[in-house]
Amino acid sequence: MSIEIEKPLEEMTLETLAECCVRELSKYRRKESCDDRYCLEIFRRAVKLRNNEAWIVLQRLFSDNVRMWLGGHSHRELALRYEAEQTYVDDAFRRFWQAVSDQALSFSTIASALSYLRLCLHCAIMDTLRAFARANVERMPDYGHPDEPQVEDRYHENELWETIKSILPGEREQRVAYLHFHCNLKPREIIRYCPGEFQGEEEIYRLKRNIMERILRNADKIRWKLDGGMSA
Amino acid sequence: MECPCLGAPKDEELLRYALDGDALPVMAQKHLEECQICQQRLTTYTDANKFLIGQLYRYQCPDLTLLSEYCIGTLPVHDHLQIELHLKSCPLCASDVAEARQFLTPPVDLLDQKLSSPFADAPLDSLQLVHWRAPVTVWHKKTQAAHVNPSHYQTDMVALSLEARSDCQSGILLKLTLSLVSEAEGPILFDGTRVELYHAVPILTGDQQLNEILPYIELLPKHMLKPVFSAQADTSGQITFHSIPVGEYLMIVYLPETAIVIERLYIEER
Ligand SMILES: [Zn+2]
Ligand SMILES: [Zn+2]
Repeated sequence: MSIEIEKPLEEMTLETLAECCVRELSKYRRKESCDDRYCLEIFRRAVKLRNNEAWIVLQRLFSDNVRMWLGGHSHRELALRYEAEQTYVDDAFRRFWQAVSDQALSFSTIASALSYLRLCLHCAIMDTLRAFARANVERMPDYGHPDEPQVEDRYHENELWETIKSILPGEREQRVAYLHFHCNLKPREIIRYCPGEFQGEEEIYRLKRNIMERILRNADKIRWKLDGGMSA
Repeated sequence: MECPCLGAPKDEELLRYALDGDALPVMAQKHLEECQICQQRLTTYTDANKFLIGQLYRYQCPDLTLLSEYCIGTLPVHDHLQIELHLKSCPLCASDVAEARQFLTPPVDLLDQKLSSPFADAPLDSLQLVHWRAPVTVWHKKTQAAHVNPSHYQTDMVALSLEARSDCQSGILLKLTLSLVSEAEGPILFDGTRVELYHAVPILTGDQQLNEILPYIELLPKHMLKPVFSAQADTSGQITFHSIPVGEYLMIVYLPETAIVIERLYIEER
């Protein structure tokens, strides 16, 4: 069944376009063929013409989709422990908006726009999880040591990493140091993430031991003070 | 600092405990609870470890926005290459990219049935995210094969063959091979020959396309200044590009006294 368009798309009011969108949506749900031109026109007005009302209509139309994608996301449970559902939905739209305006992206089908919106939601979730993972690393268990180590001057991370590399002459030690300090991976995880790179967990434990011994022996090169801990 | 007691945990055991959270043998654990020397040994390890992880944890990792732009191929060439390099060493980001790619390629039934996405039944294998110049396909089917057109190009002296391969992990691989048409022309060393790929200039065929592009026309010079990808030939005249997004490109091969320019190079997945 074809749709009769009385006016060209660009002359239709936003309300009419939104109504047509909803009508096409219900057709879609009845598994009938549907037409995405109305929706693309709303996208065009929101993104190219920067029409705020059109943007609000879009958010209203697709918020439920974003919510459902969040519901099916593999990290959903963890993500919802940190932030409310609505925060992720808003963040997904914000990122979408940022991308379409900054990178001059436009979409030829609604499916591609939704695919990209889905990716934005994914980024919103993963960036949040990363931020909390980082916060956890910074608060790693202290094994009963009461005093927080005092870092006198904050090293530029790159300089610190270069120093560590210079202390570790072997490529394999440098690689394990990277996977341990930069990626915070346990030997078992290293084997899983980097299959074929190492013979087994024992090799990684042995390399980690060499690394720590060398670092402690060269503590003076890594310019930090840890309440005497490193001077031992 | 050494602990003279027999029941003291060995350096190796203590390190596993401090660095990886592995359990200590029961005796060693008991000893540790009572021995100040061993507690100090442990503190040395944990403090150093905590400090270094606190400083270095994912400090080189690009954020998710950059990684997703990398996935859809909209980053400037320098950033694109930087991320590519990072992905080779960082398994966490490599896994993030794999996940993000998956998110750009939702399983068919996810769009078709479970979701109430209103208009998502456009042909799924032609989902396109249209950049103002080169369309970037964001839908990859794992079984799709990559194609490059033209696959062969020849001047009087030099032949260039092109081959594209699809790899679901790292995207499309474009392999070029330079060879001499005739030995009589004398040897040309291809080693180090530079090849650059630019986004193709759009072909304007209708008003609609023009309207699409007009608002972004001021971006043209900036984008044209830099190649999107560049690489150099090895000693056997082979050049390989990794993770090339589907699209239309302009290719320049800089030979010693001339250059091959292919104005329209199509890279597709079918
Ligand atoms: Zn002891
Ligand atoms: Zn990384």
